[in-house]
Amino acid sequence: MKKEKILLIIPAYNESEGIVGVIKKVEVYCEKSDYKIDYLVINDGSTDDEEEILLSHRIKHVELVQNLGIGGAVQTGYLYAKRNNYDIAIQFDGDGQHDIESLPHLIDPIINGEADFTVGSRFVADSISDFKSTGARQLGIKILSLLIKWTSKIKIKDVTSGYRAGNRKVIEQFAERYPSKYPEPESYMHLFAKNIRVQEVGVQMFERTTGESSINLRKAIGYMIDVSLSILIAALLAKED
Amino acid sequence: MMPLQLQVIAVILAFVFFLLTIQLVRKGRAEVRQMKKWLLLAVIMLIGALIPGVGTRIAKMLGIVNLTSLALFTLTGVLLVFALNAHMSLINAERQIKVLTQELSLLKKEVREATEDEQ
Repeated sequence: MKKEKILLIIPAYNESEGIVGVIKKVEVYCEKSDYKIDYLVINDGSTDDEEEILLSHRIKHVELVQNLGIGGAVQTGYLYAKRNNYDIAIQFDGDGQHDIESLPHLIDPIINGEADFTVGSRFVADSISDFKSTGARQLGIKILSLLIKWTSKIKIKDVTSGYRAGNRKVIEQFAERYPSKYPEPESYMHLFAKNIRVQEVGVQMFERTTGESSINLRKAIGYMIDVSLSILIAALLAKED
Repeated sequence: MMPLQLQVIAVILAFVFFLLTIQLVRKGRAEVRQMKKWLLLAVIMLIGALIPGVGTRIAKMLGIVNLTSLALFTLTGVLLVFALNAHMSLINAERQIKVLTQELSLLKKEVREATEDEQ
């Protein structure tokens, strides 16, 4: 039986404090796992000593020569996955919020042909995640989820989750086109336009223990306006037959 | 009929703008192909200011009260198109920088790994 080549794309910006711990867990998991998993850290032009730490610990990584933001960093991973013929690419945060043990929940539906793209969710029934984010963020997520449902008729509960996996079709698409800022919600509209089958699966997530979130309260309103507009305009994308 | 004071101001403004565009090309800060739309605009402004009768006739044909209103209306439209074009160029440049950054970074990774393998 053919074993799928799987790539974990791990974007990390100024994560020098926690990245070694995250990668240690990933390496232990890859070692014991039946899957054939590689990982690639994308150092998004960090200004702390993340690069030195990645080099000294011999962690497989790409250092972006300048900061591209989360979208550009993740897309670099998809580009790498495409060029190196990976069958499945998984986005996995470098801040330790994602539980590596939940990986099979994302991979299995793709391997079994039930989905082209899976989303690790905190809000579906089979999620064992205690961490659900703050009330304000949950409200924002609900509004965006409703907007996606309204425009596409498809329900995704955890629209901002960055724990996601895609097959070759998705790798091809995201290597070609991936939103640069706040990419997750908008990218669903791009996937739906290409008739990509998306499945939401329960995963475990943790609260970040190191570093700082890229979205603070001050940016929240701008975020909601930007993302809502992106979803509405992306809804006009021509659907493939 | 355009008031004389306004015509003088218009001629000076159009002439200064025309000289400015020519200077930018002469000093090598821009190429003719990049500046041709501004040069064309400068020439039209100059003609409009020097021979206001032509503009007044066009304004009357279009049912616009006077040349000043026509000039304002047209310039606003032209500048909107120019601004959109300039923004699109900026977006394209941003995209090109992103692609270059990604390609260069992936290449640097390959070189680093090849060097490490050699050692």
